[in-house]
Amino acid sequence: MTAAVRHVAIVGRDARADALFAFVQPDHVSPRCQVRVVAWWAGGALPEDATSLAVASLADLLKTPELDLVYVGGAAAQDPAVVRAVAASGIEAVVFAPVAGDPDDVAMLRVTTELRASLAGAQGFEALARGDVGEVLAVYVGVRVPADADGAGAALRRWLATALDLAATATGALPVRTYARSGRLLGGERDHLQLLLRFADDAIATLDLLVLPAGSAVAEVDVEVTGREGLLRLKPLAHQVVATSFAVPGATERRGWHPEAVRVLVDDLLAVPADASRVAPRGFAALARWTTDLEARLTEADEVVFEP
Amino acid sequence: MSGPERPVGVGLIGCGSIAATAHVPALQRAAGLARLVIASDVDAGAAERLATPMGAAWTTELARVVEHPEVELVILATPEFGHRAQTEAAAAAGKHVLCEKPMAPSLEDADAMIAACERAGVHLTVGHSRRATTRYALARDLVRAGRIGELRLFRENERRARAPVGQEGLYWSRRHWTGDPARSVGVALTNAIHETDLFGWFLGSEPRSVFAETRVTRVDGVVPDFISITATFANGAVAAAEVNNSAPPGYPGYHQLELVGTVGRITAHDLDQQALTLYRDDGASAPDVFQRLLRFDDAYLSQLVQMLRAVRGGGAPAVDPRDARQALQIALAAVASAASGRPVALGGAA
Repeated sequence: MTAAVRHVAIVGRDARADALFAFVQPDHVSPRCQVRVVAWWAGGALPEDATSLAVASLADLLKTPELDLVYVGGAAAQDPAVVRAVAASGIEAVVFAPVAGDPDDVAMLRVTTELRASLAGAQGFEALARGDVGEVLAVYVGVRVPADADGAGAALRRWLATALDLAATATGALPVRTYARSGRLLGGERDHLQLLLRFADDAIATLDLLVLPAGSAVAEVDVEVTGREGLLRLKPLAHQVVATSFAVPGATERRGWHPEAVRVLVDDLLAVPADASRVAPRGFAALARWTTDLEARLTEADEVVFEP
Repeated sequence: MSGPERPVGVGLIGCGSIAATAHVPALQRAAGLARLVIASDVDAGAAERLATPMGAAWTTELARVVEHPEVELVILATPEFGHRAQTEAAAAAGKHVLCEKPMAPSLEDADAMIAACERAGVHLTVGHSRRATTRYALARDLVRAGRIGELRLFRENERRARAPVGQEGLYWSRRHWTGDPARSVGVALTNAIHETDLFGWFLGSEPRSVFAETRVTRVDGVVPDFISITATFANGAVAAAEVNNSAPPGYPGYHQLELVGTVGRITAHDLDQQALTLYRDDGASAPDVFQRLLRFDDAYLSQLVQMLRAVRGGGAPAVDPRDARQALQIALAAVASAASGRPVALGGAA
């Protein structure tokens, strides 16, 4: 059976967009479907071999014939006007959290996270959906990742959205009490966020997010979801090639080989578009509202406690 | 191993689990330095079973231990609700005291214990044995050597296995003191007191604010057996811990220690150091190596020997009782925070 060719357009530019384009170069054939990038609007430079895909405006991109999916990345995902236009187009759109914009617009998009789009994370969410651990008692998410080109703040926001999505999905609700503390532990920029969340059924989520200096050799995400019938442990960044020097004691280089999240997403999402476990339900808008509220409170104080 | 010139006479109060699995083995290994003279327990059978193989006398009466002329050091291997009375009795009789953690159920009791021992001129120490456990001692040595720069974040997560579904475990059940709300405030003092002591020991600073959430995970429980706690300190560092007593049977993740400094990070995670895994057709299992490892670690022996030396005038005990009081202060603040849903300020904080 020959799978249909899926037409994808890219709005904005980030590492995932570049990886998506590279993944679906004309000579690539995905195991389950064929994917083609047919248009790209970034408001700036595109990869050299993608310039033929450039369109003049977002409006032009959204008018592209037979468009199956739009990926929104980079600064575009933080532009409410872009988010609104994509949401209004009715075209299936995927974006990685966090997303800026009116929550009702965000609700029209398929919002995913680093964890959902990872191989282990996707299977973990499936296990939770099946009820493999039973009633969830506690969630722990520990993130220790280096800052990237966007800085510690951007990484912190990205992993906050990821961790909150996991906690909310595992417990099936938003917290009834939130404690949050942000701080500057290792440098001048805010790099640490701790949250203790209490849910209506007494589930407690502990989120401890720390962005390390850029270039740090550490990249770890540790997730434990404890239920009455089991415990799910996730280490989505565990796949690493480790090189240890004999000549320089203690010198170790680690390189992750886990697939780019967007590649996993494309491979699975477009082949099985109705698979709800791959992306957050439309209720992600509620989480977006909650996150916006939290971030606003943390601009006023380093430590907050609040109930909705 | 050098030590006191003649064995220190020891009286043991409490012949339950921790006495049998930790203190008695330590006493046996320190046979030339200490001698168990007498042991007591409200359960006569427990006292006799523990004391007789050691060649010691046994009793059900506290007074017979603290007033025994050959006893110089009293070890309290009892729940915290008895520690004040037991310490005051021992101090009044001129006996030094090695008290199991947690020090006391209240700061008032802790202060009374410290005062009683100071008045009597006897040593008081509290059995925060993790300080002498190899992984923590090694980690602290690395921190003090500056390997990770200034310590900014301490985290320790604990996971203990619950009883299998359909079975009932002893701990946290209502028939055990840990699960009796009249005698226990729960996980903050039963388990997390280890972590709150490590907070101060590693950070070397005073706590300023504590926030915690607790819950009951046991279906028939009434005392919290789960806690997540975070605290800030005067030097700007942050300490946090999560104690989870609901891991599935066989889950190998007992302790997960992490220290983050300005130039590096130290971890000692059981989950990453699983030394033995058995794979069979019916699945994989990870025997509880770390629990057994504790039995071979020198922690309890080390703290005992240091106390024995102190009794003979050779230095201070391993844990200053004021450090133990701070650990208790943080743990009790966590209890209060969990009850109120608000952070609790400590020390000089507003």
